Amino acid sequence: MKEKNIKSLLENALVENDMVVANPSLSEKENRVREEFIKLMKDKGLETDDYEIKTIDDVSVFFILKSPEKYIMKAVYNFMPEDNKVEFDTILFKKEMDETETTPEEDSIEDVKVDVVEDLEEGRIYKAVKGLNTLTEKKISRYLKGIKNKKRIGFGEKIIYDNPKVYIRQSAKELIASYDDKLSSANNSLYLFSLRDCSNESILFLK
Amino acid sequence: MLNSTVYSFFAQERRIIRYNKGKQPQIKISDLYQIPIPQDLILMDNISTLVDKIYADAIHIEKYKAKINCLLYSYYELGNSEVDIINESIEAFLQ
Repeated sequence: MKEKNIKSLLENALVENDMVVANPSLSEKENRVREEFIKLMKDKGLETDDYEIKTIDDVSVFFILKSPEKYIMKAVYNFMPEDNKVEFDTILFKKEMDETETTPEEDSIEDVKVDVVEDLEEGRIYKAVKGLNTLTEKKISRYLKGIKNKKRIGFGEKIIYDNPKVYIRQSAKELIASYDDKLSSANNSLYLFSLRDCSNESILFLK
Repeated sequence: MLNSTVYSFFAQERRIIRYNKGKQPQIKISDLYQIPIPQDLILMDNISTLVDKIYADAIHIEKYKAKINCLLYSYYELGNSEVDIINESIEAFLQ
């Protein structure tokens, strides 16, 4: 695939998907595709917390979540690490991402051409792949199956992260709460209550 | 304020804190909305000042917590006997 097509592909993904997954794993070796991807993300104002990169075998999987409608688009690139070129096969996924999510069966996978990305229908999984072997496909499929229950650590809503809040323990024989007016977030073991502003009235109420 | 004995008592009695022996206590977020938070500005201001002191002076936390408890006892017009009932109930719940 030509580099400009990759750009176009990612641009399309970003237009349709303005939100995101946390947990970037960028410690692995970066290549041109990753750099291009990260640059495009940055141009769109997205930081590394806003997407996820997963390597399955030699395939880099880029996840960009569209939060409000709960759709996920995944661009998967099978790159060639040895020569570091961007001539690789491509898969595009777009499927519903909610509690009723099921992993598409293999027989629902359809071969389509990469350049018809704008024609993707929700709830379907597509592939345009020449080089991926069956084992890798199965691994990606398994990963997709598990993603809805995947533990994610993120900052939550920024407005809550930024403003005063009260943390409340979920499991205790007494009410145990803690006020915090600093920039902070917590994992799922704490309830978090915020009035989403830092007015004096809100601070008084929270304390 | 939520850490006060009055609110713990309320949460225990109203089963906002759900606890069965041998099991982990659970608090559901939807139940937390049952907790009434006073809108009295003087009370809120006084408690806010004490909360600030708790975070500024960790050595005397218990003293400030006791003062918050007293403010709430006074606000809810609880007498000594009622305060005793609250404290005994909490003790029993914690055992």
